[in-house]
Amino acid sequence: MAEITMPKMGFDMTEGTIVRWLKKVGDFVNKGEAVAEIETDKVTIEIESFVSGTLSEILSPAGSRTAVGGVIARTSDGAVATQTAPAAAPVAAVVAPVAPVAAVVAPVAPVPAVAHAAAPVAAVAAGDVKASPIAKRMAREHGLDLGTIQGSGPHGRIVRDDVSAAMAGRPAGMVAPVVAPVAPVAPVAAPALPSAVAGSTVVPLSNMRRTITRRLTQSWQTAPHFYITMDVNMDAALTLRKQVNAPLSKEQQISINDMIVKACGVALVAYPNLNASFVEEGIQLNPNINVSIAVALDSGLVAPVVTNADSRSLGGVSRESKRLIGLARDGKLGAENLQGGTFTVSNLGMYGVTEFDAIITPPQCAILAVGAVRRIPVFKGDSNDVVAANICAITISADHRITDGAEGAKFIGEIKRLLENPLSMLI
Amino acid sequence: MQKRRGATQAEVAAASSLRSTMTSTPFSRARDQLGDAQLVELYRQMMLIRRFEEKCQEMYTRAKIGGFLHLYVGEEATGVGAISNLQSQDHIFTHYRDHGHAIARGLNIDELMAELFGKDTGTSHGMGGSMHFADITKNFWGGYAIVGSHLLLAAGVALACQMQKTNGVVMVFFGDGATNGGEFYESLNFAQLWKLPVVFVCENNLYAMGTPIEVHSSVKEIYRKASAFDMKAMRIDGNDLLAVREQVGEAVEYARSGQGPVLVEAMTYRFRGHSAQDTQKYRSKEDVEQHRSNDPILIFRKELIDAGVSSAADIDALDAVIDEQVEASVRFADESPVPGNEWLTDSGIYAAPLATATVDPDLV
Amino acid sequence: MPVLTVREALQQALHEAMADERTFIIGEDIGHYGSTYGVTAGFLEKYGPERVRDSPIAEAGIVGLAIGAAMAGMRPIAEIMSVNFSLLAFDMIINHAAKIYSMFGGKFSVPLVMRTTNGWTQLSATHSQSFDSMFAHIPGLKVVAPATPADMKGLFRAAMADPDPVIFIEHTLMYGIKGEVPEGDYIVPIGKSVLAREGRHITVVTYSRMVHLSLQAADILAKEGIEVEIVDLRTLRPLDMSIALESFKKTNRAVVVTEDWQSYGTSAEIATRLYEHGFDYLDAPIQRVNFREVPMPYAKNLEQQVVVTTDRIVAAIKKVLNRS
Repeated sequence: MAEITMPKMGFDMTEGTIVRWLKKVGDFVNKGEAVAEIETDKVTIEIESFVSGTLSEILSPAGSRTAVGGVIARTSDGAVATQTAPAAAPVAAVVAPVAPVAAVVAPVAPVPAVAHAAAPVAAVAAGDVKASPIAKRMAREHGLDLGTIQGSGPHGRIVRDDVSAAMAGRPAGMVAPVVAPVAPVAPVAAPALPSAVAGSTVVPLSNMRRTITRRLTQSWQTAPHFYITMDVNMDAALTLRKQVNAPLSKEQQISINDMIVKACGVALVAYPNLNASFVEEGIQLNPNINVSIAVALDSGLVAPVVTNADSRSLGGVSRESKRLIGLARDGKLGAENLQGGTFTVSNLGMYGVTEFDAIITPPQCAILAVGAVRRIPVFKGDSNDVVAANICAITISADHRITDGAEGAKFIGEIKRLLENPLSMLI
Repeated sequence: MQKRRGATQAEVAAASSLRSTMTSTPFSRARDQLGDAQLVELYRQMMLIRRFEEKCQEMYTRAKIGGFLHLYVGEEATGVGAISNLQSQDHIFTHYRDHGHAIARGLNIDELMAELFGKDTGTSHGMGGSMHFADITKNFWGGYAIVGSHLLLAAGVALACQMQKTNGVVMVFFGDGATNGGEFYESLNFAQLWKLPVVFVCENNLYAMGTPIEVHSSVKEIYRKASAFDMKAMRIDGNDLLAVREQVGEAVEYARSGQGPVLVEAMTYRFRGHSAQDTQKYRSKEDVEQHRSNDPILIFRKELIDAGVSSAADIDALDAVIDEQVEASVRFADESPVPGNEWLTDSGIYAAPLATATVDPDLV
Repeated sequence: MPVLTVREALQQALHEAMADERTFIIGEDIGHYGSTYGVTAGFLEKYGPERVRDSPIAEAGIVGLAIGAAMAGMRPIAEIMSVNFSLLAFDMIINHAAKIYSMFGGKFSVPLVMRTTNGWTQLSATHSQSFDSMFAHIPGLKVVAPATPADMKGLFRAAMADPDPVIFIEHTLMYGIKGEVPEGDYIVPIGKSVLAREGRHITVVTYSRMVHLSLQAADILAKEGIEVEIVDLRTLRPLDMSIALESFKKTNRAVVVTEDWQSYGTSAEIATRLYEHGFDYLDAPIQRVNFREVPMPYAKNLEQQVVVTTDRIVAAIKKVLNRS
């Protein structure tokens, strides 16, 4: 018993069509004799049997298409037995690489969403000012605002010597005698990193990774963080959501996250310190309440901004949020969608996270980390009766330079109050 | 297009008639010179080439072999007969249809099959494939896939032989299609000008890929092209193993003696297409069948039996051994490891790699 | 140190190479004619026609035979009189010299040195070209283009000692340039660039004859207080950018000067490497100075506008420094 397979008749052939069989079942076929005519996308050609024997079965009738390596017929009583391994497996292995490369899917790293919130914002902000790459780098390393420096290059481009001069507090000269401006005078010296172990795989940092590294290291090293966690009973919020969503189409449905963003917007009105930035002169109270929402994408993470989250209706927050997420998924977020966030909401609930601590996105004061809504047994009121409740843990990370524990506790308590009495934030 | 029928037969007959006028035959003279065992050995080489390549075709259709696959089936007598004249200090260059020459020169078929499978144990570590078999230990410098180009390299090795006084001769194989490009004429001029020890063996199988010789060459008798360079030339019947051996042998000794190069035109025929995907629209099935009936291996087999050199049973037994060896080569190739990624670095490209740092570690 | 011309330094290197009996020279008009640029003048008389082989005008043959001989244990020097003629040998250079080592699994190599010349002087379109980038584009080749007599000799020694094919690019307008040449058998390694002049305001990355023009431009600019640093790449493949990048990190500005067409030329590769590995140090867009992109005209007034001049280098440097 031997198999006749669809042959590869050219380096680029992947499948063939049987035009006609030259032998019929029961015919004896000599080794090397043509058994069928096949058609590829280029040619029509005869195929031969590599064994002698009686054609016992035709699996691919005339007109059918078969992938290279697929069995099209069988012979029996072969006079010359071949020792070839069954064709299907090895051929399949060869065919596999032809599959679309899309099969290799880049894994989406579920890292803390908030961590990335400011990265694109910073990149866009830097792009606003015309400056050479080294000027940008020096300004970054020395904490200088390029917006305050006058550029002396073509079309007002800020160049190396302009930044050097700004650091030295003098006007820029064309070929200034400052020769080594790149010597780092960073406020916090970066510790030396270990070298990669020989033979290990080293993945170079992407631009986004590099920005995250720089921004969050800065945040971690300069903003003293404190954390407060509180459980929120989401029963009322879920009930309200159900009622609100009932008449809405699927595309219009309001999410839990929309309600949390809205609650934060309302709570921030009462707690302006949590909506502030720590600046050179002191604490800058930001006039608008703009809530960044972390959005995970295949290519990374972005944090578009729901502006004026306090004054939008819940439906307005939801629509704006959906619009931004859509833009993000389509890769169409503009600078205006990424700038000016004053507070961030990061929600890892969809990953089943109970609770977690986030790192503040500079120059914001605080970030809210939202865990999953879990259905768990609780005591009903002051009674000893145990009932099921939908509980969600939320954790605020706040900058101790701007606010303190008591204020943070009151702020997160206000969010809890709003979510447990959701009608109050709709008024 | 007009199909060729009979023309080759006439040409071959003309070449054969030269020999029939002599009293002894190439067969009888070779038997006297070599002895029976060596005659059987020549048969073995031809059959090994045939069976190896039939297995190649099978492995190609099973997608074990990639790229192009050009088979020598039908032309075995030319390669085996010509190469049988070479000594260890002699050299071979050939074209992309190189399986037959490699096997005739004694390259290991396990390594050849492994090369076809793209394996590290291949003659070229899987870097060359079907068109680039080589083994420097046998002065087999390789198959070359740019038509006509290797004739110049062959002349270069012949120049080295001459300057180093090694007494070596270079044999270079090419097709009729290779005789129209400039490199052919440059190499013939250099070789004749400097009396280089080269035997140019043109395997005239009547087609440059699928273009018939009357369409591609202003001169149909390729050997006459040598006359432009005052070079010795001959046309022989490439399907007659021992005639090839005898006449190419004369050419080899002529080159070895320092008198200069020789152009040999061996009339032959390939039974299969140019490559695996050739539909052979340029010739009729009847033409191919007619030539197949003149199969050089079967003819020589009959000569061996008729002359009592060997029995049919002994030859069948030899064939069975060859089949086993070919099967073993497939197993060897299958089980061999693939080449490592070092072939993608400088050390795979240069004998003396010079990795130069262009990446500033501070910046990455 | 003795002062020699480029021609004299090359002659010394070639005589040294001929001390190896495996070495022979093959090329057009290298013997009986007396050598087009005088480099091999007297060689035929000294070494005889067997080792100084006047070849037919057949460039594929010159390179092809040299490749074959190199494979079989010789150490040939193939001379292609003008790089314009090398086009007839490109199959040999690219499909064979560059491929044989890897294509045959590293079992044998091609220790060939191919000398050739760039250059122009009212020779019109087909005799005034440079194919540096075409050679340097090819993995498997090593490509050197030295600028000074000392580097000519040192790199020629390295090329002859190398087991791989080396394209050795000279320049018809450089044979008379003089320079100090160390005594003794020093070698300039393939793949190592060098600082040709120190400066702190701008980096000029260049090679071959353009090193000399860049040095002249630097002299002119020094009078205006501009200190130009010049990096001589010396080898185009493998390309050593370490010194150029180090310099660029210091000056943050660069001009790339090459004597070929700009589009897809060597300057494109060099500038790209500076951008790729020096982006964060960039203070102004990199400028390039090259041939204007036309087939070379014969008329002198037009030719002068096509070729690279000191003035054009000075202008490019000032532009990058935002100086008028």
